[in-house]
Amino acid sequence: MSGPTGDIGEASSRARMPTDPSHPGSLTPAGFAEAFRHCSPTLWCIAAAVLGERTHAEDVLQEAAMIGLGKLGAFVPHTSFPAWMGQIVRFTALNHRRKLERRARSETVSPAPDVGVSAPAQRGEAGFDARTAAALGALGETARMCLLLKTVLELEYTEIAEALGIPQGTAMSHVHRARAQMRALLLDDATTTETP
Amino acid sequence: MTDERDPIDASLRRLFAPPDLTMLQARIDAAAAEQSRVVRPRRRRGVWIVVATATAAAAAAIVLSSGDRRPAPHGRDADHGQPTTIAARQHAGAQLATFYAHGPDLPRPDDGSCNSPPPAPASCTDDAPQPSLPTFDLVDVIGECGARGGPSCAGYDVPAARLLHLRLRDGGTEVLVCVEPQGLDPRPMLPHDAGLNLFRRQLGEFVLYEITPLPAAHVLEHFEI
Repeated sequence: MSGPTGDIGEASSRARMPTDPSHPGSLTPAGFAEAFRHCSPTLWCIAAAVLGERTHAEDVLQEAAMIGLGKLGAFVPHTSFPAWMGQIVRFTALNHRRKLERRARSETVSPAPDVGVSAPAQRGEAGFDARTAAALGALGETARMCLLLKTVLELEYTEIAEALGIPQGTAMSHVHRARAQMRALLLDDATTTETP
Repeated sequence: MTDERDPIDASLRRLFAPPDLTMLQARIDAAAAEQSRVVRPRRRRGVWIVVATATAAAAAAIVLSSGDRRPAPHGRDADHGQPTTIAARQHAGAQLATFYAHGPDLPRPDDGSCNSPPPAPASCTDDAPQPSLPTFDLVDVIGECGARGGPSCAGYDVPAARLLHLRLRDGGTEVLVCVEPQGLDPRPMLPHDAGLNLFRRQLGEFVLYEITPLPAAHVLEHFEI
């Protein structure tokens, strides 16, 4: 991925990647592990956002790390590690999600769960969280990633833009629209919803 | 900036707070250390690898420069000069990576279409022997097109003359296998960020490609004619 190479934010600027002295800028296995350590929360959030849930995110992250480690030669020196690795995580998570969806289709004939916001089966915080998860599932994949990176990790828009390989303005717009959509689904209809 | 009092933000933080990734990092550190250990003793061989790679690249360039006489893969315009050839290879690879990522929706092996009203697809009438898997102990076939006696790939918008969508029984990884007549070999180049690997094997008058997220091919060697 030829992502942006400018300001790479705190997560990646902290990384001091050991490189192969015979190939300046190229990534060594140790450099990979070190860079991965600094941006693993971001990568985990990307995986969780693509999957729409957290259960399999760590498995996906590990699989993506092994793929990245096996393809060190594909990393372009002096470009962004989070952007490169973020792309691998997204591909891996997408494949994993497809696999889960296919398995779910073959194992059940019941209708797919409604991704909209239905009346909560549980009350209080847990009920609201369940509805939040459902509402999140109604967003697009990029919007989910932007929203989680902003809300959960409190990344700067420059960092989100870099990790996802999108313009900063696009990241900002995704977050604003995602929040508005979530709010409309969860809060505005106060007569039928329940807040904690 | 997030609002700590916002119930939605608070809910998202409860739902998606990253877990402790220490154990995962330890596994990655171990894998990286193992990779370094494996790679270092081979450093002296690196020169020969570079020489061999350069020789192979030169040979490939010679072959590619004579690409004008080859039929264009999948109906695309014939290659004219190396840049176009490389672009075509990259395009073919990108198609395969996208196809893999979005999930091929190929007919299942038992969805034969040769009983459809004529004209039958070429794949139904072509009697030439094709590469095939003598045993399915290692894989489950999820879908396939272009095989002799089966549905043609033409109706499925796939970037191959014949495509198999397989699942490895060991680990459940899904792989794609493309089978192309040698004269139509598209020599695809995957995007480097696809998170996939591409392996090639020549078998008789055919070339086979395995597209897989794994670091090694698991299926190609089992094909026979």
